[in-house]
This record gives sequence, C-alpha cells and structure tokens, in this order.
Amino acid sequence: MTRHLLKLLWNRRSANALVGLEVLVAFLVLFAVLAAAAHYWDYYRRPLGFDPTDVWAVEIEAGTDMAEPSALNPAVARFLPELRSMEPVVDAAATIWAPYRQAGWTTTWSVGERSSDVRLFNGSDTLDRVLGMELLRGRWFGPEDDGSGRTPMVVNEAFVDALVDDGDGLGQVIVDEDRNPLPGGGEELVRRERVIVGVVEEFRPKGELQKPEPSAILRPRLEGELSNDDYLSALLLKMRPGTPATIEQTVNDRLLSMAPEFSFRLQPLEAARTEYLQRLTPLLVPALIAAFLLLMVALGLTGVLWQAVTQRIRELGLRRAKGATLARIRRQILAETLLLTLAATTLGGLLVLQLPFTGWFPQLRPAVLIPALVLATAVTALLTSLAALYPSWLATRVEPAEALRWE
Amino acid sequence: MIRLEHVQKTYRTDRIETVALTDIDLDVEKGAFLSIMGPSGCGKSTLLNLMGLLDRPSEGTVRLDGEAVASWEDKRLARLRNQRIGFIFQSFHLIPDLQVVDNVEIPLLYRSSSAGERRRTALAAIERVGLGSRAHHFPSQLSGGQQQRVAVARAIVGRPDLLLADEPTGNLDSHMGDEIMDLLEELNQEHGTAVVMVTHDERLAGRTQRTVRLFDGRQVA
Repeated sequence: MTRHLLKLLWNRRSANALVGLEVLVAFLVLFAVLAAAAHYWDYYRRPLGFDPTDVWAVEIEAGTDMAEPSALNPAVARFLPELRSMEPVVDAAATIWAPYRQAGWTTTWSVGERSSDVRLFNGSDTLDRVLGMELLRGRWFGPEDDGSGRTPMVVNEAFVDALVDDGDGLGQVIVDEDRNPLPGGGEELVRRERVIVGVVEEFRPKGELQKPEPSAILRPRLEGELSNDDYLSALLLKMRPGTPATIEQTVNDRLLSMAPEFSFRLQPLEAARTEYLQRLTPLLVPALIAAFLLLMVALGLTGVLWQAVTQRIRELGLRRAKGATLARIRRQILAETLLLTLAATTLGGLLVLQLPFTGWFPQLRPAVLIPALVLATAVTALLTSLAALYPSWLATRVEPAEALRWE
Repeated sequence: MIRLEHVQKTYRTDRIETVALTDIDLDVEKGAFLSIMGPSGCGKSTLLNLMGLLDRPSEGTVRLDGEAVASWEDKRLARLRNQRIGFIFQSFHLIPDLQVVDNVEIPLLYRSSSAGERRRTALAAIERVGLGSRAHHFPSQLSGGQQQRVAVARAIVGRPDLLLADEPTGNLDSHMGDEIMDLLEELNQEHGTAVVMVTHDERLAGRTQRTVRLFDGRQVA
C-alpha cells in the first residue's frame, strides 16, 4: 500500500506541490519560532554563576555619572568594613556594576596565536562570598595578591577554552598593551599584566539571557595609584534571610553620613531580576505574532488539504466501492499527508541545515539547531495530521454511492 | 444470492423529498444474468447501488445469502464489496494518475496478498480483457472502450460472485459495446458469475436471461 501511495503522490506531484509548499512554509515559520525559543531557552537554563538570593545592590552615583575611581574607591574601602559591621549584613563587596544592570565592558585579548573578545567585570575580594560563587579550581583573589605587579583575575571556563592553549589556565598571564596619547604630544606605552588565579564555570552578571562568552573578573585597587581599570559603581550586601525592606533607609543613612558627596540607590537583586525579566515582556509581541502566523498557516493548510481531498471524494468513493473501510480511507488520507509532510520537512530541513554555513546566523549552534529542527518537524507533522482530520471526516461521511456522484 | 424485499429509497434535502425507488422486490440467484431497463431517472442506478451495498435503503430489506445487511458494520460491508461484488461504472471511475495495472490492482490492495501476487493477478485480469499491451499506460492514453475494459478488469480481478454493471456500454459505440457485452457473457457462462446490468439498449438486454423494467421508481416488469 505504501508503494501505491508513493506512486500516487509522485504522479500527482504538480497538484501536491501547493500542499507541499504550504507545509514547507509552516515548517520554516515553526523552525524560526522554535529556533528563537531554543536560543533563549538555552541561555536561560545555563548557570548564571551567582546566586542573587538575599543580596542587595547599592548603586553609587556622583551626580549623574559614575564616580571616578580616585574619588570613589577609597570611600568604598571605608564603606565595606562599616557595612559588614551592620546587622543584618552578612558580608559586603564592591563591583563595577550591580548584577542585572545592562552595562558591559568588552576588550580583545590575545595569547600567542589565540585571540578572543572578553567581557570584563571588576569585583572586590569578597564578591565570591556575597554572590555565592563556586570556584572550579584555583582561589579567589585577596590581600595575598597585593604588590604582585599583576592584576589577579578569576575567569570562566569559556575564557580558558578560548585563550589557554593547554593546562587548567591557572597561572596563565595575559599581557595587554595600549598606546595612550600624551598631553604634550607623542604616545605612552601602557603595559598591563593579568594573571589567572581561579576559574569558575560561568559568570553572566547581566542576567539569564546574557550570551555565554569568555569573561574575567578583575580585582580592582581600592587605594593607591588608581586608573580607569579600577572603576567601581556598586556595593553588594549579603543580608540575612528575611531582612525587611526598612533596611534600605538605615543603610542609605549610614552611607550618606560617611560620604555625603555620593548618592545611593538600594534594591534587592531579586527585585532587579524581576524587573529584568519584565523588560523581556516585549519579546512576547513577536511570540504572539509568530503564534498568529502559525494559526494562519494551520488554517491555510486545512483549507488546502480540504480542497485537495474534496477534489478526490469520487476517487475515495470508488475505493470504498472496491473494499476500503472508512478507517482505511482515513488512514490513507493521513498517510498521504504525512508522506507529503515528510518530503516538505526533509527539503526544509536540508535548507535550514545550510544556514550555519552562511555565517549569518551564529545563534544556530547545535544546541539550538537540532532541537528546533526535531521539534519543527514533529509539530509540522502534528499540525498537518490535525489539518487532515476534517477533510478525512468530510470524505467519509457520505455513502459510497453519493461519493461516486460527487461534483 | 442477493434479495431485495419491499425496498424503498428516498433522497431528502432540507426542502425536497425525492422518492427514487418504491416497493422493489428482486431476487438475483447465483449465475443469473439480469438486465435492468427504464427511462433516465427511473432509479436504475439507485437499485444497482443498493444491490452493491454502496447505499442503504430508506425502507425494506436487502439480504445477502438470506441475511439482512442493514445492521452490518462498515468493516463487514467493505469486506463483502471487496470479495463478492464487482462494480462497473458507466463513467469508468478510473484514477487518472495511476497506470492501468495500478488501477486494476486497487481491489487487491484491500486484501492480504503480497505485492508480487497482486501484480500477477492484475496483469492476468488485464490480459483477460485484451489489454495486455496497455498495462502501463495511463487512462488518458486509452480510448473509451479500452477504459471501460480496464474498468471490467478491475471489477473481475477479485473474482466476485456478483458483477454489477451500470450502463457499461453507455459511453461506447456499438462495436465496443458488443465487445464488453461478450466479455460479461463469457464471465457469466464460464465462471458462473451473476451479472446485473443496467442498459438502455434493448438489443443488449435481449442477450440477458431476464429483464427488470423500472418506471418512476417502480418495478413494472
């Protein structure tokens, strides 16, 4: 019977082309929607590298700008022990930006033949304790790194994969040279050396949908000779569980009493996370448009299949006259639809498998492409099967004699 | 073999009720050769459809081997249509996208037989109607007479007990009509297949054992 159906489908290829095209469009739309969903889901399910529970962020501003390190960092050095002494603060750290703040600092580093974009983040000695960060190997930086001449840093695994030739990355020195113009003309060569002291699995401070990429957390200097590499703008406070919101005023008052030249804005990281996820709400608009588009495709598919089956009611009547049961006719319509779906999705699959080679869609990594391809094929098959149900019911609701007279 | 008792068929739409057949009593025995005659619209094809289990009567009983078929489920009716009844239609009802051999094979698709066996049986039936050289042609490449012979081959491929032919020569010239008639006679006489044929042609009806005449849905002879 399969051979018979294949022959029938092939001999009707021009008539089936319209249905096949409709199925192909449905498949491609589905693939696009599912690939976008898989892309974001893949990011969302990956580890953040930190735990925002019971952590409050204190953003520090001098006017409307970030305070210069020379002005802020010595104050931070005074804030941290003071805050740690407060009840219910468990621990405190300073960072370049509060997590979930959509700010970034990216540079390109090279080691030998290797080169990679790296996302940089400044964090003080106790950041790991405040954010519950777990080291895979090595140690967090601390006072033992004072005076080493190299900036200690903790990097993520992606950093090691991108820039370290072999070994676990610990002790790897990254040399970075910049030519800065001098006020009186000429250039000054600035050479910085950074060394990896620890490795974490991941660190994505911008939130669940931040692209996983090579990242480094650098130890800023709080006192002494400070440069643009030492920027800080936020404090993070690990609070005891159940700390009431009234703590905001207490902390704010304490900080203002120590440094009235700055302003402070407190917010629990969990609230920042909620706000961050709410900012993603506009993503629902394209999702709704995609759902509407899919509905249109499903209705179009039902219409095209309905038309295709209606044109064949006499043939189906003949088959019943020759011994086909109602169930067999329905199975035949379903099988033909699925064979057509298989042909269209195979073509669609071959098309989308070419996309990564174009280089236009870097998001189509295997973790996105394969689930999206499998799901789009399965959903298209389900969609076409559902769309074939009504025409198959229509084709079998009449007696064979009536079907044979069908106009 | 098949018996119709007080059969009535009424077609109903929202506004109109059309009585196609009234109080038909008919008995077709094994090996019989019947013709059904009557003016257009008198219910000949409806009668044939009821005998072929393609439709259900509004009233009365259709019996096959003495058993009323009214309560039979679709699966049993389909099996009977497949194994015991062969149908030849005036308009052939060939599937244009399938070759002759594939068209003839259709009844065998609904039986448990291997692809090779199906193919051999279909080719034998095609040989039987004299179209061996046309087995791999499409219906559109054949003349009307050849197409009707394909329809005959498809009707006999499953070796039915009862062959129902609805104006099998209606779309053919007299020469081709005679060829089809010869074929039906041969099946009836050599294999004992009962044949019920609807025709407008008195000459062809004269070649059958008995003629049933209908007028306005009633059996008048």
